[in-house]
Amino acid sequence: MTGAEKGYWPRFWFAETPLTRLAAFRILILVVALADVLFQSATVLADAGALGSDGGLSRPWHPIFLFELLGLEPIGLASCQWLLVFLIGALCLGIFGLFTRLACLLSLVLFVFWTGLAHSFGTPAYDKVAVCFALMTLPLAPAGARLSLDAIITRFRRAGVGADQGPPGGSPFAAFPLRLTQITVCLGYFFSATAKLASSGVGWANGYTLQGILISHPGDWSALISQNLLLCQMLGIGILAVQLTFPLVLVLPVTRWFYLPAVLLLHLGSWKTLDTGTTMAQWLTLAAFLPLERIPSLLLEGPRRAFWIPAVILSGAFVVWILSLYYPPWTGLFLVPLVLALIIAALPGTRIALVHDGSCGFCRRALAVALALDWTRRIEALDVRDWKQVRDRFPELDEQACIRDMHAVDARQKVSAGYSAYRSLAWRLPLTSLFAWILYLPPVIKRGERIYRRLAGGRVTRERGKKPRAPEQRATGKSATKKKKKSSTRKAGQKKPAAKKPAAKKPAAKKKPGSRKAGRQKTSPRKQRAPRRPRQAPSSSPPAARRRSESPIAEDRHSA
Amino acid sequence: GSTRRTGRILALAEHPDGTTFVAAEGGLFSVSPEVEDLDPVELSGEAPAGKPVGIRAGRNKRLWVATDEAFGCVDTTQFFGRSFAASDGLPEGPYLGLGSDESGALLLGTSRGVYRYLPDQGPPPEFEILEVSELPGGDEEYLPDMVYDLYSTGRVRLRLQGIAEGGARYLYRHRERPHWHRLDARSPVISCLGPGRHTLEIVALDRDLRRSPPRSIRVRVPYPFVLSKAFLFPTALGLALAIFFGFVWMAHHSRGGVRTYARAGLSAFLMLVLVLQVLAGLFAGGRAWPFVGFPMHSEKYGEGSQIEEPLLVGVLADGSRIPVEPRDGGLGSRGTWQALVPLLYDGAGLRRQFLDAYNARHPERPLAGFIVQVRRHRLTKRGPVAVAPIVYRVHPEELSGDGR
Repeated sequence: MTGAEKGYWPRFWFAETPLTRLAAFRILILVVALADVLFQSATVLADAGALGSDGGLSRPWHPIFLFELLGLEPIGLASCQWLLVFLIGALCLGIFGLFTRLACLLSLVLFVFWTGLAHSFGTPAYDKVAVCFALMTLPLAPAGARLSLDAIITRFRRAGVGADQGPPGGSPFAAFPLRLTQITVCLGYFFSATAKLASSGVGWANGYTLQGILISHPGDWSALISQNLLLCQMLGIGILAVQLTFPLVLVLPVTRWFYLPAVLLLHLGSWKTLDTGTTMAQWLTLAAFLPLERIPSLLLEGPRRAFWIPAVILSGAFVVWILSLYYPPWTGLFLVPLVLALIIAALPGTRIALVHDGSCGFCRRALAVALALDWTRRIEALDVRDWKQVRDRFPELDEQACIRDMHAVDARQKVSAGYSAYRSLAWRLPLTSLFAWILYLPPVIKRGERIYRRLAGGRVTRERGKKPRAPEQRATGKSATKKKKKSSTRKAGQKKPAAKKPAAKKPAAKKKPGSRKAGRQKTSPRKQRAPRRPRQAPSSSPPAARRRSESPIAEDRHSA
Repeated sequence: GSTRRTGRILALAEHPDGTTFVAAEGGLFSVSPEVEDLDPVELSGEAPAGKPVGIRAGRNKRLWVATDEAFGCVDTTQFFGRSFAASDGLPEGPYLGLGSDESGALLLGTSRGVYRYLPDQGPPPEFEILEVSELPGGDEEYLPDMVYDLYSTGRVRLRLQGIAEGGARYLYRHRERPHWHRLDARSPVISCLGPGRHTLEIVALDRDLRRSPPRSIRVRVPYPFVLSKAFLFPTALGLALAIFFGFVWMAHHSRGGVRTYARAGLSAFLMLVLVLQVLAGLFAGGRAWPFVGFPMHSEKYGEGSQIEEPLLVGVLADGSRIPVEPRDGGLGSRGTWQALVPLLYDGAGLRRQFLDAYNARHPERPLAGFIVQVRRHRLTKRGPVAVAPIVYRVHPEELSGDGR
């Protein structure tokens, strides 16, 4: 680390941060933005439709400062509708992580314009400020490195050339979007408090102020709270204190346990008293303070599962309930994969080991996609080239069979191969588990097996043009096992030596009696010796390291 | 505002919109059937000063008030008023009471006898805007369709010429807001206009508070120089470059690699955003979105403060009343003045249009009319106390019996 990197600034903004956290945050922010756009769409389209009508029922145009600076004028209904289509498209692309940076950039530009239109006709709101700044940073960060189609495609391609080691766990460029969002939230609360103090002094908390604010708004609880002057006074002091001191969460992370619930209660309270709406766009950005990537482990393996499981379930149910107030029920379908992931992770016996041929490009690609979709980390990948390890774990497996077909062994030691193995796998992936039953339909089985056989039989190894011989063509003699042993002990990064020209025939070396290991047959003469195995794809890491047990999540030393 | 004792009640007057005014030793008060407490009325403008001795409800949102030392008319929406002078034929005081006869004439009791006054005689007031001054380009003749560019101080002076019974007085308002403000007849200056475009309406009043047809003037107030394009763009660019080169220099000094320079660029971006956020927070205002200040709910109230909330009330055919959302009739906002102002001032056509739009959306519960009113509360130790609402508009006017 250089001298500059040791400073507070780089440690604050560019600490190594898990990419999964950034990716989860990306999805959350874009979903929040999408929900807000849909919620505002009726109003914005109505304003656009009323534009230019003769003295109709329309609202006056008071452009925001940005629009004045740039000379932007209101747009008509047709343009507004196209804008909405492109905005929704960009947000959806960003959520699913396709062309992630470009999608995020487009989302930012269009979202600022869309919201600016809404603010220019009506009164500016403040609940989307943090969302906007979060969007500003996503195009500059590796937000698509995880939980995205881009990540799956990248792994697929890299697996094809044997370079897939899985994505890095963290990145120093994953921290600053979260940090900027945190600071934006802190500044928002802090300046809210300072504006109150600058305008009204500490007398703002005299109780009458909150009484007057509450009675001005027809909230469910307004009348009840405003009747009690002392309660209004205490709430006023509490609001000022929490807002003014909220920035402490940046320097004392432990205070988040207090401040995050406190401001959440503040927003929910304002919903019920000031009829502000849920301001979900604001308080969901508080997720920037949370280690999102740790939530699955907290639920599944952490020591305080009894606390976290109901806490997360209740929180999720609350958010779903709020969404159900404003959006049609079918939008809840987007939560189905998350629910399925929790079910899969919670069910016993869902772990599965996949034994694959690491020299096969097709297998590597298929495995890379499976691992990318394995949100609950049910899959353990074993390479058949490290046969010793495979044999120790599953002695019942046959090496040649494993070379020929991918094998899956579930927690009950049930072995399935080929198409059946993929079918077993489908149940364990949240995105495919709902449709895995289709793979059991007889017509689908027939077709699936046929496709599998065609793909597996036509696998092309690294040595182009050479197809692996059928297992019955491969010799099982000593020389074959010897050569195999040599290749498996080759060090990582080492290429296989170039093929040598056939040397002059040497006299057979005399072997010591008893040197031959038990069970091995005497090697046949050279001409009967089994052909050399096709060159295997060089791998940058030993096969043993391919096991899924690697944690994709780097330890978060500097929690963002 | 504050609470005060009524003392001995001297007179009552029930206004057609349902509000009852009380003239008492403690001053003027209002009450209505929905509330339990009397609320003191604070008069402003040239409203009659002194202890009220008699009141009479008038048509068109007016209240005739006689005090021990003055006589005049008060608007019942904003409680500004005008007092009669000797030149108007007003006899000398003190005044003892106020009544009316069947023809609608007012009977003012004095120590010398009773004097009769019939309001709304003579032509209604009229006026012209002759000139607009204090402009950067010098004084200009008024043209209705012109947009006048002002200085960033947001101030404009007008030259008005009006004819009205008892002398013309002037009021102005922002087109999107409901409340009128006084314009000094001798020096009609409108000031404190914020940056942006404004459409202002001006009316002339006579002594009976009859209004002339409104005249509009459109103005544009530029942002201060520090917020103008000419200053902001080069300053922001200069600041951004300075920050950027500062970080690049540090990166170069640390002899880092490509990543260090990438961090330098990002650091410059982040620093710039932070600076803008802090500046926006210091200079509070919401129209700089997404760089906004946060001035919401920063007002302060005390004991006796009055809280007002505009409401739209629908009147069904059987006379019962229901709350109505402006958007249900096609008005784009929730129950705020921005949505309701068109119903107050934009003509009967728009009001009919609103009713038709609402009834088309709610055929099971059609409205016969609506009322735009302000619900009010006074803050007290025992909690907010509801006081008589102020009725701004009843449509159609037949519903209230208060015609124009």
